[in-house]
Amino acid sequence: MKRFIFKLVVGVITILVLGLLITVGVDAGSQCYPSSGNCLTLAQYYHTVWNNPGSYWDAGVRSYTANPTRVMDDIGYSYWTVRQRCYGSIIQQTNYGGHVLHYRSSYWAAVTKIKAYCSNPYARLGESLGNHDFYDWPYSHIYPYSYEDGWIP
Amino acid sequence: MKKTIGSIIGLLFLMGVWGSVNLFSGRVDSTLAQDLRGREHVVFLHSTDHPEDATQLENKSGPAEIREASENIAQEVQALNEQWLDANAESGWIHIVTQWKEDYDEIGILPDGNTLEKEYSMDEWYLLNEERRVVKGIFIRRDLNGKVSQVSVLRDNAWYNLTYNDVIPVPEEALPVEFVWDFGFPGEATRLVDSLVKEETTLDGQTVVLYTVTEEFSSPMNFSEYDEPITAIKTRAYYEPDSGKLLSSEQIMIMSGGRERIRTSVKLISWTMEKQPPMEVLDYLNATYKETFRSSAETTSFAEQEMAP
Repeated sequence: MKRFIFKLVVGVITILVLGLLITVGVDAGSQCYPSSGNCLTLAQYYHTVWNNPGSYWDAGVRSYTANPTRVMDDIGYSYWTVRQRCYGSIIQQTNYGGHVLHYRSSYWAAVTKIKAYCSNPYARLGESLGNHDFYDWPYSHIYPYSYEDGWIP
Repeated sequence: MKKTIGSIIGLLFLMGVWGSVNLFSGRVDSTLAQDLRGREHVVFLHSTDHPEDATQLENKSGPAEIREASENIAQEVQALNEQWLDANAESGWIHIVTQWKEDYDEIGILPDGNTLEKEYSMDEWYLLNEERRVVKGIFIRRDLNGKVSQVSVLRDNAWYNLTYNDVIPVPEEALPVEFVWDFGFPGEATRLVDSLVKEETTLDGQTVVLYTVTEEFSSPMNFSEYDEPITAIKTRAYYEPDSGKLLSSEQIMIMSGGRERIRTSVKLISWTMEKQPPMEVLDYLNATYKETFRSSAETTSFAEQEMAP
């Protein structure tokens, strides 16, 4: 029994440590599509910033529908910017032009980036931001904006 | 039988803890996780290897003596840094000038539409207290012609970008802000200790100690900065052996085709302790901040500003 408890404690500690090492930021937004007065589906969207303990980090963008899930003519993003800062200065910024999938209910894209030199690891910030894209004929496109950042030590 | 039931209960409990950790850290939304299964179409731009799947380090333990020798070298790197800071990072103003050169395939477009230059200099001013914490800081980026391209400032526990007019609070866990000037090399030397190599060489006619660490990937990794996959990242640091001064550092990408590209090269030009910065530098610090600066979330890309509907 003692051995079991010991194993359990070690397991819990390992999980907690892993959880601390790999941090992530997600802050989801949502709005009715095509409009609040005619809510056929919830357009949900967010950006992500993942820190890996090594020399790289990940940024992501996700758009999807829910309650109920609806297959869209276009789903994705209209613009996506991935940025890295050191001491508040922008030291890297990549802008991706629009990208959508057709006849899908969900879109997800991610890039892996190298952590730029920054002496103080808690002064290095990863950012992922931009406008998502939802469209289903005969309704209009909506382009909701979302942003996520996270320290990438 | 009891053992099996115990193991199953233990496993279920661990899964529960894992789920709780994820939920509290905001990593997983259970609804999203379900959506991700099966139906999800995942689009990886440039990146196909998920980092969790990649074996990050070649962390083979050699004979005990080799390991011990490597650990001693890693400690030596730490000691060199400490030695330099003890003698050259006293309370008051420190002025550091560095020269930077970068090489990657992506083109960086700043929020105002300007291209992020790949060769530039940094003018850094730090005001340190007795505990070697940064009370205030001014960071000026200049292009090769000496023109200021970006300025940021640390004050009131926040990073202010004066060029793009935004502010990012320093996280609680990083306060008070530690003075670090090592480009993360001592940490890398510890993390990748098994690959740590020390050699004597010359740099600009001066005898120096060169430390190198290599992070090898089990399979080539795709980084968005490069068109070609990368098999390893080599980091070099050149130290002045007597003083512990970090003279230069390079981060080298080993491409899958065998070619080496220097992602970042930084060279220390000067390090001086000053009474205070000149007025034009202090002006950056003394400007009125709080009311006019927005959150970094509002600093969108140039493309978004130009073309967003």
